[in-house]
Amino acid sequence: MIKRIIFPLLLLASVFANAQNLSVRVMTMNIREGGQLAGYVADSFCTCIRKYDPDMVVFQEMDNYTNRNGNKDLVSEMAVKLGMFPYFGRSFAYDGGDFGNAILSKYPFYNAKTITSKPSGASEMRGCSWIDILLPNKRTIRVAVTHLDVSSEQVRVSNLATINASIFTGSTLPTLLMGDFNASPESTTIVYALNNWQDIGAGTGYTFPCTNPTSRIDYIMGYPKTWTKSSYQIVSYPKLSDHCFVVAELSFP
Amino acid sequence: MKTLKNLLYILFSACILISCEDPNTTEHNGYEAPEPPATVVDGNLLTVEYYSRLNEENLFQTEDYNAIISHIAATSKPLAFFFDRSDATIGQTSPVVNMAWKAKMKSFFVQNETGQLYIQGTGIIVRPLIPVFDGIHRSDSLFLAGCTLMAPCNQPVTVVLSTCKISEIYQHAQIAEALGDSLKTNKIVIGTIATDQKESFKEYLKYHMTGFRLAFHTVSDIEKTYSLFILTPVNFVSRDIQELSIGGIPMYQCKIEYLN
Repeated sequence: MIKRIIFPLLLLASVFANAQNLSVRVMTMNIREGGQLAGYVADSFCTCIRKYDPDMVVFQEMDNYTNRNGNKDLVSEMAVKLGMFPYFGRSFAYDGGDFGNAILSKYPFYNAKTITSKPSGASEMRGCSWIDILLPNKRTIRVAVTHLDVSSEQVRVSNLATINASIFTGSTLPTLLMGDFNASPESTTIVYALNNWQDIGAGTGYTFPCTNPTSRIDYIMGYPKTWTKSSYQIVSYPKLSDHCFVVAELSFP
Repeated sequence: MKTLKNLLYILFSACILISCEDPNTTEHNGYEAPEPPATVVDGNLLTVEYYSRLNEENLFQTEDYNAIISHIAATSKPLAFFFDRSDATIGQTSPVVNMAWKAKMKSFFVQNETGQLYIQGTGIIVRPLIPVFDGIHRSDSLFLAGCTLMAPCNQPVTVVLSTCKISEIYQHAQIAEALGDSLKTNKIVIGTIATDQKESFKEYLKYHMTGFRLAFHTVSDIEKTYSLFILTPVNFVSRDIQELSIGGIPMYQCKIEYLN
C-alpha cells in the first residue's frame, strides 16, 4: 500500500524537478583594455563580482598573458579566487599574448567554443565564445559573450550573422548572448539582432560611459524570446571600467 | 492460380524482409581492427598523462598538489594532463583550475554526474588556448568531452583528446551511440572503466562500432576497481602505458601513435 502511494509521489516529484524553471543570475563586464583601469588586479574585479554572486560572468576586452597586464591569466586567477570555472576565447594575438572574451561559471561546462570573424571593413578580428552548462536542476543553458566591432553597422551586422550561423547550428538550447554590441537600441545592428534575439533589458538605462552614461551599448540577449527578468541592474564602477556592468536575474520556462 | 498467388506472396514477403534488414545488424563476427605496424615511429607518438587512483576515491586527498604543478609546468612533451576524480565543490576553488593557473596552462572539467554542491569529474589541463572543447552529455548519466588539439607529429595532426568514466553497463550503448562515426575525426577517448566491465564493453563495441582500437590497462591491486581504457580511431594505436607516481599520486603515461 505504502509503495503504491510513494512511487507515484516520487514520479511526480521527479517530473516536477525536471519541469523546474531555468533560473540564473548573470553579469556582463567590459573591463576596458584588459582591466587597465583596475591595474590588471584580479582582486578588484573579484570584490565586485562577489557582491552580486552571479552564476555566470562574461567579460569583454580580456587579456591573456599580455605584456601590459604583467603576463597574467586574469580570468583563471579570478576563477581560482571566486571558486568558478574559466573559459577564455581569443579574438586575436596581442602584446605578446592574447586579447578576447572570457566566461566564468559557477558550474562546470561540458562544451565550449570560440569563433572569430573579420568582415570586410572591420577594424579588427572579433570573437564570440560560448559554454554549455548542465545546471544542478538538470536544465541546460548556453551562455555566450561577444564584443562587436566598433567600425560600422554593416560590419557589426556581419559579425552577428556569423555568430547566429554558428551558435544556433545543432543547438536548441536556451541561450544568453551578452556583451558590448557597440550599438544603440535603435541601430541597424540591434534591429537585426532582434530578428533572432530578445533584448531582455529593453527599456532599461544607459550603460556607457560609466560616469553619467549617455548610451546603451551593453546587452543581454536571450534565445528563444521567452526569457523573463526578475531583476536587471546597471551598476557603475569607475575604478574598474569605462562601461557600466549589467547584472540580471533571469528565468526561462 | 492460387499456387501462383501464394508463390508471389512468399516472394514479395521475402523481398520486404531482405530490404528491411539493417546492414549494420547483419550477423557477422564483429569488428576487429587490423594489426598495427610492428615498428613504432617515434615522431608520431603523442604523450598523455593520466592521473588516477583507479578507484572511487578523490584524487586529491589533501590540497598539496605542488609536486604535480612543478611537474606539468616543467614538462613539455605531454599533449594533455588528465586528472580522474579531481572532484569539484561548487563555489570553492577547483584543484584543476588552481593547478592550471599556477602552471600557466588552461583547465577544463568533465563532470561524471550532476550535483547540487559536489561534482565528481575529470579535470583536463592543456598548454594552448582551446577554441573547441567538444562535449556531450546523455541525460545526467554520461558525460564525454575533450579538447581539440594540434598534435606535433611528424606531420601535425588535429586530435580531440576526450575522457569519460564508465561505471554502468548501460553507458556502453550510450558511448557507442554518442561517438557514432566521430572516431573517424580523430577523437581519442582516455578514461576509466569498472574493471569487471572491460569484457562486456569490448564485446559491445565489437558489434556496434567499426574503425576503432580499444586498449585497457589494469593494475593488479584489489583496491583498484577501475582500469584505464584508450579508445582510438583505427589510424591511432596505444603503444605503451607506463605507471609512474608524481608527489605520491599515481600517474599513467600513455603513448599513442598516429598511423599515417
